[in-house]
Amino acid sequence: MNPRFPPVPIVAVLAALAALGGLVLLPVAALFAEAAGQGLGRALAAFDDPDSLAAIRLTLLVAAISVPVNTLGGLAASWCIARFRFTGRGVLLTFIELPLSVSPVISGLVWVLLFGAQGWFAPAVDRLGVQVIFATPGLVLATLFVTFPFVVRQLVPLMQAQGSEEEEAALTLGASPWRMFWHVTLPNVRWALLQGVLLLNARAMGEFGAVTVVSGRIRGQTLTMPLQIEALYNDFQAPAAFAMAGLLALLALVTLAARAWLEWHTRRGTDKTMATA
Amino acid sequence: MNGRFVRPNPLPGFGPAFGVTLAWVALIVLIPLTALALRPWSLGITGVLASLESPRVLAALKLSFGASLAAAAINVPLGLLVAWVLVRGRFPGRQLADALVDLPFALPTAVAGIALTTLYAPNGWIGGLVAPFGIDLAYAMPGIMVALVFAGLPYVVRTVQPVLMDLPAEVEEVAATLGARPPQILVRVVLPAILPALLTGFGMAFARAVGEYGSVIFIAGNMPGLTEIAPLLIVIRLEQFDYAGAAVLALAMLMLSFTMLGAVNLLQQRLARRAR
Amino acid sequence: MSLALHGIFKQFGTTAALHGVDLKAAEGEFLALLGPSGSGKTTLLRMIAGLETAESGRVLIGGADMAGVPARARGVGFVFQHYALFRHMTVADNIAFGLRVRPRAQRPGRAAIRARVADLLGLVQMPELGARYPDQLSGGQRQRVALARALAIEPRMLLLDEPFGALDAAVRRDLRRWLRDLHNRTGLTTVMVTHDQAEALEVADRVAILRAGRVEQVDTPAGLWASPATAFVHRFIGESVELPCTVADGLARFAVAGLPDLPCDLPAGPALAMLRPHEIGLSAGGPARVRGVAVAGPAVRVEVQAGETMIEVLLPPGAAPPALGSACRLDLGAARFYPRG
Repeated sequence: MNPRFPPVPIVAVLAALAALGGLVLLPVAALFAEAAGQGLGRALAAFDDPDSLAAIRLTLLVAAISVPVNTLGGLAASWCIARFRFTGRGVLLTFIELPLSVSPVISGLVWVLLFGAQGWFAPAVDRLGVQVIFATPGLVLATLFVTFPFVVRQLVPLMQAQGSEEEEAALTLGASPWRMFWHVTLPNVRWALLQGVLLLNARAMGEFGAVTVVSGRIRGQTLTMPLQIEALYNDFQAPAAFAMAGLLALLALVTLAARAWLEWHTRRGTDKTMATA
Repeated sequence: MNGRFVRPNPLPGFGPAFGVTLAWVALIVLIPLTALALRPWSLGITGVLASLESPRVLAALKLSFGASLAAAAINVPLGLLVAWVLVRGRFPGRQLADALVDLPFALPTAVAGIALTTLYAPNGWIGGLVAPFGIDLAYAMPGIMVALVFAGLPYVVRTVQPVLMDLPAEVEEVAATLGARPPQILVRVVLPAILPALLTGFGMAFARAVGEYGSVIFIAGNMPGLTEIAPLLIVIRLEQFDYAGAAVLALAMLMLSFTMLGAVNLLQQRLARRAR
Repeated sequence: MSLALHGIFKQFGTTAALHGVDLKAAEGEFLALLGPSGSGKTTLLRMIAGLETAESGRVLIGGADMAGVPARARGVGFVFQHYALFRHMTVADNIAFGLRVRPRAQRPGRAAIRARVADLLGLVQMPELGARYPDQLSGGQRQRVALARALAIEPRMLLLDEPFGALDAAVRRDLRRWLRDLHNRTGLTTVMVTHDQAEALEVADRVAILRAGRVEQVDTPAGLWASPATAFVHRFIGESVELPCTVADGLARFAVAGLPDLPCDLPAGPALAMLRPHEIGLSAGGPARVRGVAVAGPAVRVEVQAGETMIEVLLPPGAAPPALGSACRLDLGAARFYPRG
């Protein structure tokens, strides 16, 4: 965007836009066209189905558990990694980011290996009479694994860039650790944290591969929205599948828009840091 | 370190925060992955090898890794073009285009899968264009490639973009005053500077593609030995309650892709050091 | 409140940052810690505030040992080099922070806090700017907000880390004077870290000069100027001319030809004679040659060649500049001697 750079040839701009449009925009457009082509009435009717409603409820429940757990864990880990130097810090960060390079299917598989037949923890949960695999706990665990690093990846770079002087200042002014955290640490990272939580939530609600493995695909019981889409699609109930897919695509678009807006906020925040330094 | 675990620091809360972190990492990541690493050996070495040697498994691994490498290789020039246009180009809707880049990342994979299938199926907008010539896009190799390129594109764009943005105008201007023509500037000045980032993006796109499941299975056709990807084979083995067999394949996939990622990282570090 | 440091020792990794530092500041004193970067002065200051821990040694504030007392309970006002203002709070909220975070029993009422903030805004001469955010202020204004925020908690002492480091020269000069004024009015014991000798000498009652984790000298500005304890201090606080010599039998003999021997009470061995350029006398006729003459404001700078060595001399205002190339004689009678080697 620097005016000193030579202008980008119009051919290049068109090629890039064609690539983006053809590869990314067109599929989503096709999806919405398909969903809308059924007429609004039939699309809405898809949500009358009790199985679909159950899928929506289950998706919300899974997100409602995994989002706070990974947010709190991510906050604690970011505090350690961005503010302290300790033995094994790099190893810890590597482990936290590991789920990003593990296939979703494998992210589900590991829980089957732990809690399924002959799993390490199978006897224990059997004794307690808790069903983990092919039940909600399994879906939650698989979702926790795939959304694991989202908050840390947002917070650690920002917290490192901001430094700890403001927190030290709060301490010298007599603030207790909690006061410092609530009044200085958290407000300074709130936009980045919100971004991480949004991404975490979008992934938690949209995850497919990992939950496929642990779900057992019991209609009305262990199907989350993406799994319900697959079930409907394979049953040749295309209108209902597209309606639900459209809903999830909408969630993705809203998440992206919110994130773009937040990114703008964060950037303003870091500019302020630069100006103060 | 003075034999101390954590360097002294006036900030509070390391103890509790570290405890929470450790429990969180151990319970959700470490213990499950350890289970994965150990489970295959319940079959014994010969069992593991036998489980890997079936033609169906080999075909699936070859397809997953081959197609992922090809997709990541396509993503490099494509992602570079998009990143370059987004950073340097000035045209209406630039910010919208920029936001679009993240869509494959944000869109649930199952949704992407049926969206791509709808588009490339013989009765779809694009599939319909080539169907009269007897060309199949969906339910065949091209469909798999489209899905993998779609999934990997944001990774290349988003790693190259910041580097391209930080590249000072002066460097290119100096090259121009020294008599370099635009293609020479690109090859000799710009490319070396962004090569490490391109390589990182390549690695990330590749890793994503190897593990990709949702967006592929709808469009792939899933013919054993032909268009069946390795993650799908894991799911199939699990559905047959062959847990150890699924673990073998999963571990083999992880080892292969970590080895490749390690090699890419090594190369990337070497390049980055030279660029400095 | 008074401050005393006893045998402070600190290590970073394998390198020692502070080697047994002893230091005292009397009640109401303004002490400057002066030294080049890496001399350990900021570490020392952070230690007083409880932001850093010593491997051994004691910090006493008002006679009380601070071992185990966390930063938030020490009641010191710390002004950070980059101010560390809370970026998401207004100026007024920044200043009020230390009062608002007090336990309920000791917390002043809302009205009292508002009044105190208004007082402090007045004190730092920005009564109108309470509603601004830090990023809407100039560097000098941020500096003063940081000071007001530190003063709000009625600290037992004020600690300033390079308070003028990030400001431009004109603002620096103003703030320096203002800070000294403020100190005179509040009578608060103050410790300031700086690497700028002019700043330390102008503002502080006493200056401690640090070098590589050791205190080289602690004295009043006048004392430092008149009798630097080491060659390092001599160099650090002003322009120096250094001439190597050898001491034997109470006489210093110069390695440079044409300089007369001088009486010296150092033990026999290699030594260094040091002077300020203005302390060197210059008279016509002799073994040295005038090689350069430059008018430097009211004074005149003369470069004299003695043997192979060039020596800089600063003539007092009004002195007649010597002719280029003329023969001259140097008077080094004011030299201070330091052992060398």
